[in-house]
Amino acid sequence: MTYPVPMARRNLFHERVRLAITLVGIAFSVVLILVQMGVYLGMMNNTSSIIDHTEADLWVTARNNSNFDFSLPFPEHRENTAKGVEDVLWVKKFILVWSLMKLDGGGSENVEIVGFDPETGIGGPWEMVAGDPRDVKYPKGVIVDESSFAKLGVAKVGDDREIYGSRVRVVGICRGAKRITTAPILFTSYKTAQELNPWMAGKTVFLLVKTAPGADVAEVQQRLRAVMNLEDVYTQADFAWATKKYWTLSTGIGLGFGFTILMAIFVGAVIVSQTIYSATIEHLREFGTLKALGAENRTVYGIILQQALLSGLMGYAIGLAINLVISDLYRRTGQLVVQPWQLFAADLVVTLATCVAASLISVRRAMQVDPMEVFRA
Amino acid sequence: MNTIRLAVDGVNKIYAGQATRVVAVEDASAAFAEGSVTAIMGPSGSGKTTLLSILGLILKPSNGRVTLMGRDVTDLDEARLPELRRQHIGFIFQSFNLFSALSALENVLVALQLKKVARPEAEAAARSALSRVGLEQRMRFYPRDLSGGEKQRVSIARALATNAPIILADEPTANLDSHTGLAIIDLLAELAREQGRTVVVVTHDTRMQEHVDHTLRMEDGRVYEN
Repeated sequence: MTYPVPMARRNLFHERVRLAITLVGIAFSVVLILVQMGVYLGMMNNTSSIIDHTEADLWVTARNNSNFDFSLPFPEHRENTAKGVEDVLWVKKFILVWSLMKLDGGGSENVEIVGFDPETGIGGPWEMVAGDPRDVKYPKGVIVDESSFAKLGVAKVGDDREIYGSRVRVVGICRGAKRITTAPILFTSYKTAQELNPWMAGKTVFLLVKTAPGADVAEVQQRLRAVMNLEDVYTQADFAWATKKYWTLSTGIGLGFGFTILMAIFVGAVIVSQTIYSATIEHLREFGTLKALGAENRTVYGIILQQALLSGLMGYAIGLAINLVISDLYRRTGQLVVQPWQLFAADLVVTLATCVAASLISVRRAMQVDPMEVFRA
Repeated sequence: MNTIRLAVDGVNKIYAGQATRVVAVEDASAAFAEGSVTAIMGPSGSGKTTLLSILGLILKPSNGRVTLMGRDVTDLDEARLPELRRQHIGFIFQSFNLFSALSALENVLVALQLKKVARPEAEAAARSALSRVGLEQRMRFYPRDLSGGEKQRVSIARALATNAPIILADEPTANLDSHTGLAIIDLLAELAREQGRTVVVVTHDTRMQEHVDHTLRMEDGRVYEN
């Protein structure tokens, strides 16, 4: 025997079909939110993965560049200007350029070529499956990210490929550098990147700046801005954010994901409010009886709210379990799904808040119960 | 003379719409003493249930006074009425009004829970009340598994368990066969005589008259002493 008698729980489990419908609705909403957000965060993670893995405090780009993937080049001699700024420890030239790779079976594929300094490895791949980042010093040596295999075919160290008529040799395979653009990504030396794309001669796309130990990054940023008035200077975090913002707001991605997530919340709320409301209507006489027995209004509202919260918690748990399965399926297809604990916490809060909000309609109806209802035959 | 526990004096209940005005209870006065059983009889629509609702502090009268346990409660704030109902009044309803998701025992426990009775005392009181009405073997049963008479007994046990000095019953035998109805009438009369409860029963059941101390007749909202 449980005492106090858990009326909310008993009411919920007493009508199992209704409970099942409620839980399906909530779980559906939870799964949609978690998977959509996980995929979205995974995509955003991809947009900034190279920035995040590059050991630079500041990024210098051509003026008005708002993202990593479509940045314009500027004269590489600007490196000297940056080097002359107080508290700048080092400056590295860094290229991201679009190019065209010929495929073995005919046809070609757009590729993103990243040119980094092979001596330090700064800006290079951070997780190697085969080879070493410094191997790009090999003439026309490139490192292929394994996410590119789907488009370029499976590559192995020693393979030859062709970019704009130049033969390149695969000297390594890396992992985790998949781009949101879905274009295959190749890492190579800064010099090779320029050689493969002749119009890049004498130009760079980024300058990576490391500040001296103990220097204030914001102050160095201001000094750089003062002398590099033809370029923009971002902190690493700001450039990552600007890139994410570009992909979220300037493409349909943010709208698409946002709309799906809103619809998930809306559908969940409609199902919960509908089932809790119909349950409240069916229990109106019982709520009236409770009041006649001396229950205060808050006791009645408490039961309705508890029902909503219990439904929310159970639906969330079911949704969480389904999400694990679906997320795993996504990952098996190579899709990065990022679900930090904050996402789970936020979704729990959203789910419970939605359930509580949905139950308020029922609370309002319960408030209007005619006291004489209890005497009706 | 026994103590008067519940009384109404010159009570009216008027429902006024935009174009209509219905007088459900008119100038009703009555007093209900400790240990007494009073039947309120009358045709349908005569105002019996409205008067019972006023006596049970569920409905406020349009005017007149209501006295509970010697205290004028007419003008008390709505928020204070639940406490008075919990402490002093037990209800028995025509349609039993049991909680469908709860067992017989839990249905009784809910009333004790509202009074914030601690678990050991609540369980003892609920079991004792259910035994008193002959349902010791049915405590775990849900309302759907109980007969009409058994449901009404659970309803009575719920009123009994809280030790409410006043029991208000609305047509307690209306949905029962004659044999079961008589048993319920006997039980209510016993409660008044053995435990000193004040029992007020709204009924159409003329058999009730043989078991009650007083009968009030109602017609067109007015109360007449039989």
